Amino acid sequence: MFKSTVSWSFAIAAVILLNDGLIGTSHSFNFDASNHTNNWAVLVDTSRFWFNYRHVANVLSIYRSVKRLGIPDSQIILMVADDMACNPRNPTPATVFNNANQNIDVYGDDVEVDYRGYEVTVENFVRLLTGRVAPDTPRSKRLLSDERSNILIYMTGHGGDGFLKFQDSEEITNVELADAFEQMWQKKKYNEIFFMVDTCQAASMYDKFYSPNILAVASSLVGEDSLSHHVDSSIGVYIIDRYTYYALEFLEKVQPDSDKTMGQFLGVCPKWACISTVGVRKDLFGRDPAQVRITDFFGSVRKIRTTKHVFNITNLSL
Amino acid sequence: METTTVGEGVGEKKPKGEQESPPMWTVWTAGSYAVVMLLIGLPLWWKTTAVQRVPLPYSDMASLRGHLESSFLIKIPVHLVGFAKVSPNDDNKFHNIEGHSFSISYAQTSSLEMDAIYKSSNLYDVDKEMCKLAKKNSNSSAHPVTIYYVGRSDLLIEYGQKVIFGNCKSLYYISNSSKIRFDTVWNVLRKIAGFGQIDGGWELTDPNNPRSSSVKESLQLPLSSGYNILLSLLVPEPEVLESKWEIEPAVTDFLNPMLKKISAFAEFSVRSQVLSYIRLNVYPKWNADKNYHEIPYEQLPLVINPVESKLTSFVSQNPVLNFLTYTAPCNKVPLQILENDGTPLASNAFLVPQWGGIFIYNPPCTTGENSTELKIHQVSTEHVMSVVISQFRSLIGLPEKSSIDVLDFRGSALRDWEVDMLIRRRLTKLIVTAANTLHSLGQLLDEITNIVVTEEVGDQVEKSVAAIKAAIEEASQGNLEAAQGHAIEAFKSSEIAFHHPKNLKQLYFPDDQKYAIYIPLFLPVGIPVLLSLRGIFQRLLTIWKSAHQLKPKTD
Repeated sequence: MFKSTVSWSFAIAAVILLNDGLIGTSHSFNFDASNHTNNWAVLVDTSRFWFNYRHVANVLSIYRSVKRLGIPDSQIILMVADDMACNPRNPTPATVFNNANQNIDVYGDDVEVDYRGYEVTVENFVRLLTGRVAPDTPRSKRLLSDERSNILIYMTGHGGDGFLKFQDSEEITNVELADAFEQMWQKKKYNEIFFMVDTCQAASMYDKFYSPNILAVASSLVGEDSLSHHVDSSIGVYIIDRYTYYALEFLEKVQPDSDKTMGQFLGVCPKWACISTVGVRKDLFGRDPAQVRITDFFGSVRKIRTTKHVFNITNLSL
Repeated sequence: METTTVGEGVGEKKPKGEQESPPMWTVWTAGSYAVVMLLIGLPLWWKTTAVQRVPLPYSDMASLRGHLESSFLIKIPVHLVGFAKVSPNDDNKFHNIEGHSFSISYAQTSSLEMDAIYKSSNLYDVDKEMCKLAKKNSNSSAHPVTIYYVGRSDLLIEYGQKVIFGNCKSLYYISNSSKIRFDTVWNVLRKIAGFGQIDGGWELTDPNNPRSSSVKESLQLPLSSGYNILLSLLVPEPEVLESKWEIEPAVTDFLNPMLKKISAFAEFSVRSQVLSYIRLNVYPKWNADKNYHEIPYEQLPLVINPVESKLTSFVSQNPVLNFLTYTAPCNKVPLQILENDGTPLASNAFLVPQWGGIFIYNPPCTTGENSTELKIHQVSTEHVMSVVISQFRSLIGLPEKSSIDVLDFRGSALRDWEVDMLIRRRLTKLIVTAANTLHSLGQLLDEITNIVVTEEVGDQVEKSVAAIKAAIEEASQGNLEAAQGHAIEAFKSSEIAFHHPKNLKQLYFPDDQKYAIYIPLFLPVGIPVLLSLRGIFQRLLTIWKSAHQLKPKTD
C-alpha cells in the first residue's frame, strides 16, 4: 500500500516538476521515480599481497566508473587494503591496470583513497557504515549519508560461505554485515542500497540481510568460485575478475543521462561468460529493478533551482 | 623359608561387598570443588562474559515518539489590537491548528499606535513606526505577533480588504469595520504557523502530516546545530583579468546582521576565499541574435561536481553552504544562464538545495587593448551579496515569492515573524528527530543483544529524554527560545548516544565456534567434578541411611 501511494504521489510530483525549474525528471514515464537526493559509494578491497592485484584493479575500476558518472570524491569512500601502484614488483610504478592492453590506468593521478593499507579492517568498515567513528575522524573518512541517500556498496576480495576475508587475518560474517545494515536502516542512513560483491561464494554474503530497500548482486552462488579473467604477462598476475570485467564493459557504455536500467545490469555476465552463476537478491528491494535507472546508484543526482528573485540591497540598508 | 603367596597378606583384604569407604575429608574436598565451580565459578564466568549494558529508560524511549505525534503543540500568543471580540468566541477553536495552539488576547489601540496608523503616509511607514514602537516597548523576542486594525479608506482602496504581513511582528487588517470574521482570523493564524506558503509549486510543509519528512523537506538544510558558510570567488583566467573583491565589509553590513537574527536557529560561521585557474564545467554556445554566450539549462546540474573537490575544507564537522561567484572568462563574456524554457535568467544564479548557490558574474572586459599591465577588477560586492542573501533565504526554507500578502523588505532580509516560523519548524524537526533516534536506539538494542551500552551512553540518553520533555513543556507555554535551547541539547545528546564509538556490537561467533572455545576449558575440570558429585551424593545417602537405622526404635 505504501509503495503505490509513493509511486502515485511521485507521478503527480513529476508532472509538477516539469513546469518548475527542478531537473531530474525522466524523459519517459516508464521509470519508477526514485526519491533519493544524493548518491554515495563505498568501495572496498579487502585483500593484500601482490598476487591479489586483481582485487585492487577491480575496486579502482568501479571507482573510475562511478566518478565518471558523477559521484564526487567527497561522497565516495574508497578502501584499498594494499598498495599495488607503488609495490616494488610493479613494472610500471604508480599505475594499476585492469586490462592486458593497458589502455586505462585506473590509478591515475587524482585517485583519493580514504582507507588505505592496514586501516582496512572489519572494525573500521563496520564503524564507517554505522557512523560510530572516533570523534577525530576527518570528514573524508565518514559516511555522511542521510535518509535520502542511495548508497552503492561494492566489496571484493577472498570470501567463503558466510564470510569475507579482510587482510588475510580476520573475517566479516554475513550476520555482522546484515546487522550493520540494520543499524543503518534504524538511523535512517540510507534510502536504498545496491550491494555488489565479487568474491568466491559471494551469494552467502547477502543471505542474512533483513533490512528493507536493499538490492544485492553477487558474482557467484554458494558452492561456486568466482574466477579471474586474464593474466597480463608483463605484470605477471591476473589483473581483473570475470564478473567485474563484464560489469565494467556494461558500465563503459553508460553516460550520465543514460536510460539503462538496473534490471539490465543485473543480467550482466551470463554463465557462459562468467563460469560462475550471478546471484541476485531483490526481495528486500521496493521497486522493480527493470524500472530503476542505473544512474540511481551509479551516477549522481543534483537537483537545482534557478534563483528567480534577487534582493534590492539598498532597501536593506537602513 | 617363608613363602608368601602373591595376593595374600598384602594388606587386610576385606571380603567382597564390604569395602572400606574413603575417609570423610575426601567427601569434603570433592564437595568444595563442586561448590567453588558451580556456585562461584559458573556465575562469575556468566557475569564477566555478559555484554555490558547499562539500564536505559526503554519505555520513555519508545513512547516519546508516539507522544509527540499525538500531543505536541507549540503555543503562539497572538495579540489583536483594536478589534471587537471574534465570534464565535471559542478559544478551543484555535487550540490546534496544524500542530500549533494559539492564545488570543485583545487590547484597545493605544494613542501612540493610533498616531502610527493614522498619521503615516503609506503602509510602509505605518509598519516602520509600529516596529519602532514594538522595539521600545519590550524586548522583541518575547513580543507576540500582533494584528492591528487599520481603518483607513485610502489603504483600503490601495490594497483591498485583507490582512497584510509587515516586516517585524505586526500584521495589518485593512478594512472599514473593526469586526473581524472568524475564518479570516483562522486563515491568518494558519499562515502565521507557516502553512499556506507556496514556493513555486511546493507546499513548504506537508499540511497532512506536518511531522513527516517528505522529499520537499529534504530540499531544505540538513539538520545540524551549526553551519559553515563559504563565499568563494572563482577567477578562471587571472592573467587576462584578475578579479578581486572586498567581501569583508559587505559581509559585516549585510550577512552578519541576518545571521545574528537567526542565531537561535543555528550557529553560522562565515569564511571567504578566492580561487584562481578554476573553470566551470560548462560549454556555452554563442547566440548571435541575443549577443551572449548561453548556458543551456541541462548543463547546470553537471557544473558542481568537478568544482566541488576544490572547494570544501574538511576542518569542521558542520555542513558547508557554498556560495560561488564565477567571473566569466573574457572570451566568454557575457555569459548567460537560460531557464528551462530557453528564456534568459535575469539573476544569472541558481542554487542546489542543501549545498549552496552559484552566481555567474560578467566582468567588464574591455576588448582590443594591447596593454601588458595586469588588469584588476573589483567585483561589485553589493551585487554578490544580493544574490547570496536571496539564495540563503531559499536554502534555509523561506519562499522566494510569498503567496501570502506581505510588505516588501525594508531594513532586513529576514522578517521577525519569519524568523519565529523558522525556529518553530527547526524546533519541531529537532525534537522529532531526537525522539526518532532514541526510539531507533531502543529498538536496535532490543534486536541486537550483543551491542555494548556504556555509562556514557546511558547518561546521554537520560539527558536527551529529559531535554525532550523540557522542550515540549516550554513549547506548550510558548517560550520559543528556551524550547529551542532544550531541543538542540536533546538532538545533540541523542546523536552522541546513538553514534557513540563504544556502541559496537561484539563479534559474532557461530555456535560451533563457541563450543570449540569452551569445551577444552570446561570439560576437563567439569566432568570429574560432576562425577564426584555422584559419589558424594551416594556417600551422603549411606550416612543418612545408617543414621536412621542406628536410631533406636522407641516403643
